[in-house]
Amino acid sequence: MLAGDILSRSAIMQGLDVKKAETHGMAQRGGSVVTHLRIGNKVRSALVPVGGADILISFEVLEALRYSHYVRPGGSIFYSSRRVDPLPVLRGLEEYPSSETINGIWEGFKDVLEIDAPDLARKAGHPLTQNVVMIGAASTRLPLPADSLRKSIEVSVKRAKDANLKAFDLGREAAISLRR
Amino acid sequence: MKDLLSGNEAVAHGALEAGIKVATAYPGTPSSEILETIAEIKPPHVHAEWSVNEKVALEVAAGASFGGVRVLCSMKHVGLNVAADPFMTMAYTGVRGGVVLAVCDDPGMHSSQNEQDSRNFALAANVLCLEPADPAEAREMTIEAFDLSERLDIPIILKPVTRISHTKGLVDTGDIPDRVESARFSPDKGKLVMVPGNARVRHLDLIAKQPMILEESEKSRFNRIEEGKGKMGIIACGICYSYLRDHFPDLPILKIGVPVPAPIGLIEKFAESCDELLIVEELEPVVERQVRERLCMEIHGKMDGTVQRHGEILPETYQKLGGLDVPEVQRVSLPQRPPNMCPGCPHRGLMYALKKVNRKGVMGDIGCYTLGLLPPLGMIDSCLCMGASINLATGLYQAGEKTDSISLLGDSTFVHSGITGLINSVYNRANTTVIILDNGTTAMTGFQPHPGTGELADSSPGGHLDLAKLCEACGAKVWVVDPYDTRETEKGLREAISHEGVSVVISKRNCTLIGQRSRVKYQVGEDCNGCMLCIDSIGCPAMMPLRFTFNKAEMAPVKTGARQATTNPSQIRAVEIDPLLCAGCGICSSICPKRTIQRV
Repeated sequence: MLAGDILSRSAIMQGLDVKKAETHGMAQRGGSVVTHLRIGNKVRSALVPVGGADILISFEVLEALRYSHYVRPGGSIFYSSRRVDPLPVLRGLEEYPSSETINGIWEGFKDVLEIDAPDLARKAGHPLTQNVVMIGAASTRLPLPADSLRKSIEVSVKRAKDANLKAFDLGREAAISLRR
Repeated sequence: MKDLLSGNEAVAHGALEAGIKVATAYPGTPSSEILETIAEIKPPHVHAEWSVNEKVALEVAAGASFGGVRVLCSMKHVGLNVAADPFMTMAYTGVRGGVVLAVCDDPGMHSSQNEQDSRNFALAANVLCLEPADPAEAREMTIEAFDLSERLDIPIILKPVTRISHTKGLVDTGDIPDRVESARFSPDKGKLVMVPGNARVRHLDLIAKQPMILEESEKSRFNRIEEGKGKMGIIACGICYSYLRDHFPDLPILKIGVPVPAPIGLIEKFAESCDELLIVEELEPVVERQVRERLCMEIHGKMDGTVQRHGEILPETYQKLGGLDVPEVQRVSLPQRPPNMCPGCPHRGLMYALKKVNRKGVMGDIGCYTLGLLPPLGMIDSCLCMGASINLATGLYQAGEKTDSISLLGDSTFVHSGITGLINSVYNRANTTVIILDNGTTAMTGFQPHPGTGELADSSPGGHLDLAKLCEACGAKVWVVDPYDTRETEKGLREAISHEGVSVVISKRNCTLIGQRSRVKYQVGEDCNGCMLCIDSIGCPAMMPLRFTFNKAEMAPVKTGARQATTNPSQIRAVEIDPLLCAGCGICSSICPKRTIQRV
C-alpha cells in the first residue's frame, strides 16, 4: 500500500488524476494483497480490467505469476525475486509451479524483469525498502518522471528516507542494466 | 483543499464539515475507517465513540439527534440488520438534528458473510438512500444528506460499497466548524413516543411525505442525464456509472445517485429518446424494479439475466456490456495462498488444545478466529452472524444432540451480542461450553478497542468490563486459561466441557499484532526428525520445511535449499523457524514430541 501511495502522490504532483483501490481486512491475513492504480487526466474508477494493465509490480514471485493475466501483451512486468511459499505448498499439499510452467507464463510478455529486491534493499541499508526498490525498477516504464517519484518518496516515507531514496536508485539502475 | 482520500475518509470529512456533534459506530469492514478518521481528526466539540454494537450505536445517535444535533452512525451492511429495530421506527419519529447512516455494502463479500443490499432497508422504511459513484461524491452526498434528513424529517442512508470505501481519489475538502451547539431536549410526545396512538399519526405523515421525498430525488444533482450516441440508454447506479463512463465516454447514460426513491420522472424523460434500456447496478434489482413498475418498454437488467445479481461487477463485465470484445484469458493453475492466522496467534494454541478434546461440532462466530476453519486446524463448524455461536450450540443441545455442546467467539463479539446468548443458555438450563477468545482487541477489523480493553476510540481510558466477573454474574462457571500453554488449556477445556450446566472458558492472551513485538524467539534444534507434527497441527506461517538430501558418501544429510517443501519420502525433512516472522509464542515448542524446539 505504501508503493501505491508513492505512485499516487507522484501522479498528483504531475497534475494527473488518480484512483487507487486497496485490499483490507481478511484478505490481508497472509493472503494475497493487491492494489489497483489508474492514472490519467480524468479517472473515475480504480479497478484495472484483465488484460488492461500497462504495468504490473509484484513484491513476490508467485503473486507476479498469479496476476500476470492482468497485463496487456505490450505491457511491462517487474517482479521481486523474493519467494514466500504459501502454506499448502509448505505442507506439501500443492506443488510450486515448475520452471517450464513459469517460463511459459513469462513468454507471453515482451518486457519482464526479475529484480533481486531483497539484495538491493540490503545494499540500500534497510530490508524493508524492498518495495521502493521495485518502484525504482518500474520507474523505467512509469509515465512519471524519476524526480517526481523521488519527491513523492520523501513525502510518503516516514522513516529511513535516505535508505529509501537509495533503494529507488538501485532498483532503477538494476532495471536499466538488465535491459542493456 | 485537494487531497488523496479514501471513500471512508471522505465521508468522515463531509460529516465533520456538515457540523456533526456525535459519531457512533461498531467496527465492520469496509466501514471502520469512517469512525477512525473522525476520532483521529478529533475536533473538540465532537463525541466519537465505538459503541458496543450497531443497535446501540444508532440509538445513541438517535438520542443525540432528538436533542437537536447532527449525527453520523456508520456500520457495515450486516450491521444494519442489528440496528434495524431503531432504524425502522426512526422513519416514523423522524429526526431533529440530521441523522445519516453510512452503511457500507460489500458486493463480492471481500470480508462478509453475505452481500445483502442496504438499499432494500431504505425501501422497507420508506426513506431516502444515496449511493456514491466515487470518493469525492461520497463526501458531497454526506454533506447533502444532513440537509435532506432535516428537510424531510427522516433518517438518510448513505450506501458506499467496498470499492468506494477503500478506494482513494482526489477529494476537495472544506472547513470543519470551530464549534457546534450542544444538544437541548424539548419534549414532543407525539413525535418521539411511539405508542400506537402516536405511531398511527406518524405513519400517515410518513406516507403523506413520500411525494416530497420523490421530488428531492427528481431534482437531486446526483441524478443526471448524460447524452450520447446510440439508442440503448444505460441507467447506471452508484459505482457502476464510474466504470461505464471510464470505459465508454460516448454512451448515453442516466447516472443514478439516489436509487431510493429512483427519480422515475427523470427516467421516463431519458427513456423517451431510447429504444431500449439497460439498467446496471450492483447486487439487487432495486432501481430496476422501480423502473419496471412504471415503464413498458424493452428493459434489460438483472431480471432478464443480462446483468449478474451476485458479486462485484468487474471491469471486464462492463467492457462486455458496452459491446467491447473481451479476450478470454487462459489461466495457469497456481497454488492458492489462503489467509492464515498470524505467527503467535493465541487462537492457534486454543484450537490445538480444543482439537485434542473435541473434533466436531464447534459453533464458531465472526472474527480472526473464523480462520480456524481452515486446515490444519479445521475447528469451526458454523459461522452465521455476530454472537450466534452460543445460541447455535445451545440450540443443538436443546434439540437433543448428544455430543458436547461447544461454541467459541471473540471478546469483542461476546460484548457485541454474546452476553444475551449466555444469559439465555443459563436461564433455559442448557449444558454448554462457551469459549471466549480474549485477545484484548477487535482484531480482524483493525484492532479497535471495546469495553473489555477499557480504552476509547481516541485512546483515552474508558469504562472497563471484567469479562470473567460478568460471566459469573450471568450464572456460568468460569475457567481462565493461557492459550500459549496448550497443556493447561487442554486441562481447563476438559473440566469445563464435562461440567454440568453452562461453562465459560476465557482464553486470555493478547493479539500478537498489538503492543510490543516480542523479543523472544524459538528455534528448531538438532533432534528434529521431520515428523512435521508442528506444521501439520498448527500451520504457523513462521515455520517452513527444509529440504535435505542424503549424502551417501558422508552418510549425513546435506541442506540443499531453504523454504522448499517436498513430499518426496527419500529426502529427509526438517523444519526451520523464520526469526523475522516468529512471535515467540512457544506453542510449537510445547507440542514438539522430540522437545527440540528451544527458546533463543
